[in-house]
Amino acid sequence: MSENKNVSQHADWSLRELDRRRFLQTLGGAGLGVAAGGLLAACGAGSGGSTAGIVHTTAGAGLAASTPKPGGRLRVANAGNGTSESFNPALVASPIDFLHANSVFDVMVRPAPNYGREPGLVMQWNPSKDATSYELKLRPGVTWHDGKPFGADDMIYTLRFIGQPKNLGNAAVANVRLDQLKKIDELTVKVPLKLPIADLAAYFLDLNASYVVQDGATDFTNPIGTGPYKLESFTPGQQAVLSANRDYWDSPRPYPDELEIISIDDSTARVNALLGGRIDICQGLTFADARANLDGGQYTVVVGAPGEAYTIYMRCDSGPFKDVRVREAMKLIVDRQQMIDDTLSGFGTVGNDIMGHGARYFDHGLPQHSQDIERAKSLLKSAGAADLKVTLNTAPVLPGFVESATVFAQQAAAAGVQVEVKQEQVSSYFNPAISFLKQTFAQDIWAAPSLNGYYSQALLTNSPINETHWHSASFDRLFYKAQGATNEQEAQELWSKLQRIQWKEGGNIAWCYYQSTDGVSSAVRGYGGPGTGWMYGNDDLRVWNWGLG
Amino acid sequence: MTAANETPRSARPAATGASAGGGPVAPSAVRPFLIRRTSQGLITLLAASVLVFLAVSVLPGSPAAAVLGRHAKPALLARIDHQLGYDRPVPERYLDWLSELAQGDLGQSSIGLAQGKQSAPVWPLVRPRLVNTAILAAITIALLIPLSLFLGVMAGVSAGRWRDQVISTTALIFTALPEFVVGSLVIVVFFVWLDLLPPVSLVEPGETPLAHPDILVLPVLTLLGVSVAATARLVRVGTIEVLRSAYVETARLAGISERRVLRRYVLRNALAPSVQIFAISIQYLFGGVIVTEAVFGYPGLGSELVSAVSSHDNTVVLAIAVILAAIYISINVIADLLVILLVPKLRTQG
Repeated sequence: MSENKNVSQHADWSLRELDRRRFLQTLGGAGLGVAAGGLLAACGAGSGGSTAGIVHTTAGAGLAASTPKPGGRLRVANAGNGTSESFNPALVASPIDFLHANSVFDVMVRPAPNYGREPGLVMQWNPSKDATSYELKLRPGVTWHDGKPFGADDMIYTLRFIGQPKNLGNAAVANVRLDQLKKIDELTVKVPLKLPIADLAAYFLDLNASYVVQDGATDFTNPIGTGPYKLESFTPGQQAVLSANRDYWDSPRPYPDELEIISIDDSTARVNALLGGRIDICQGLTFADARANLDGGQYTVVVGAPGEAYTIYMRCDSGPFKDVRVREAMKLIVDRQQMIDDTLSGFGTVGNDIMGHGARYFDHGLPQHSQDIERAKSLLKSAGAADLKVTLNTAPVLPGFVESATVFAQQAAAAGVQVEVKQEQVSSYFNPAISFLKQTFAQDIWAAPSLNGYYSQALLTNSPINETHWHSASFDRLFYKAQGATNEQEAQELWSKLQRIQWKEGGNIAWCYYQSTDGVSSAVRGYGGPGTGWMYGNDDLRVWNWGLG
Repeated sequence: MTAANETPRSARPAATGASAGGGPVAPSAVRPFLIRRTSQGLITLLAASVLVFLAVSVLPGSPAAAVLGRHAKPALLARIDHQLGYDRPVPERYLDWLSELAQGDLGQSSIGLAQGKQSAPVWPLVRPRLVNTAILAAITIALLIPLSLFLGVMAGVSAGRWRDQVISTTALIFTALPEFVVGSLVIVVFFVWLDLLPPVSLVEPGETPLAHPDILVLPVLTLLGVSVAATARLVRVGTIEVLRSAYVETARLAGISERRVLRRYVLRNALAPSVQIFAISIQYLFGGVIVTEAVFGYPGLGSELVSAVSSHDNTVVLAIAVILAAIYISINVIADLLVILLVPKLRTQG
């Protein structure tokens, strides 16, 4: 029996290796370039698909990605969030809180290597023929940390919990008839929808809308989850100590006996903690540190798969960017690879102005936008905007934000466009009461694990985060059609249509699909490997896989 | 943070012309002074609290916006702001906060309440951080005073000679370096090169840093690096001034041994201005602690303040700011009192 298990595990592992290789191949020659010299692989903005600047790590990555041994105490650090840190899955917003929630709770859908999906607590999403209703088959044999069995009541409560306006993931259930959820049996829930959605699970790839909570849970000071670890002690802004859940359904995971999640705000102090052996995993390595240690340094650098998009966005309904020719010109002004090299130390692949890199139905086939100053100039001239002057609002939200705004301003000057970079405070930049959604020309970053999620939140007439102020009734209709298309081929065609519109006319200059950089010690196993693109700051948030060798 | 370099001039007058003697001080003479300085201190604290409260109030954004991020609908933000009382006028909120503070209550964490917690008192959040910072500061001060006195007097006594040159030049270099540079330097030397000490000073919650003294060494060295240098230079100046004074010359001419002159006449008189210098250095230290804590990931008051500012936990910011202001002001009062005790002449002056 145990032999069988070993064999299947081994088979599982080789499959992953194979996937990894295939993934590198699909990214073209870039992968080989990395093996040779890391950053030299910037082949320029080529035609079609993505050009990888850096793919996953070279030296040591195989080891880091292999299966851990049972036991030990794994210590992982990321930038903290002070007294705001929490285990409340409704409010998870910072990288450290994603670590917290991912260790105590389970998600409905797990991200898998190569932008794939694996069942979490929901085994099957079975749609009705017209996709207006779903039957969710729940994972059997799952128990909560307090010993109660997990079942349909918990799932129903979770969906309603997500729907609360204060829950950061509430958009995911906007089309679910929360008042008509029905328990069919202990492990089956009927979920009626307001309109057809062919891929409901996609909405729950949004981490905020993915954690399953216990029926009736409101206070998460002592969180009860079904996840790989149980919380032992928590001091916000400092440290959380967790112990392995030995009744975990995904046995033999988790491998370590204990997990320590440590908040270290200063990035240098965080790396020093790794070098000093005080932690095993340092998430959020600075680009400079990552670059210096990429080819085998004092620790292994794990580079995530390209995912989250850095974008400079334009308001489409008024002001200078109302004219689509001006928007197109702006997309042709930017030298994407230079921007990635200069502001992200090369950690990203060139973006093509559409979101959701790696997500299902993402269109890799659109021609790559690249710098064409002459064409930009003529477009501007025909739009009567040859001497365009605009203000680009930026804020030090993430590394590279302010820097890329500055680089953009320099590049725009070549086309005769004057861009004045105006730096704001982070706290007001994303505050809807102050600046957010009121800007004509600004920046953002989007983790878009599904197209449904991104398009419904950002590009529909009634979208809550419609930064580009993209209002088009026909686009809305096309979106609902694509979302409801149950035929795979039809769905792909419709999604491609939507993406082509955005690529050509939309208000996003999504210049980069960014890659996260983490540092791990030689003792770490089960970390990194083929990336998920499931970002939120760090590509690998699969806490259940991590361990020591 | 530049205070240490600027203030010594105002701190000096206490010394010059002070007599070498000074018998025991009658408590009756000190009491009115103490009452006057303490009440002055309280007024200063009150003024500081008004300033901090105003500063926090004009910061763009609110705890609710910080918690809910860009997903927040304005109506929801307004509702939470209302629950937290953020829609009330600033003076009203200030008076409420002040009356709670007067009763020893630092209030509830704004972020905690915005997240929907029923109760999130600030004091349990701040207390362990305060203890950690106090430990770091206390050790530094305990070393700072004797070290800078020793180096300062030694340099002063041998002013212009090689010993002074070495001490003064080294001190000048260190004075010019900010904490994060000194911090990085000591990490390079003691961790990267010598591999003797840990480069971070993480403390497990509920544990005292004293349980692992090795983690305190580099932060203390960093703080000493920046503070001893500046302090010793000031002590040196004080010593030189005393050495040039008439009474030291008289003592020397009277044939009193140089050792005795140094101990009885020079040291004692150099000590009075030094008390003020130390007060300033210690105050400066609390500013330097913020940077040093960040460099070493040490969970103290400074790092808590920084993260509270960025996460908009206004009540935590207020609490820490008031605690720091109270420490500042108490150090001032204590230093003044010490000077009075050391220099009787000042007691009779206004």
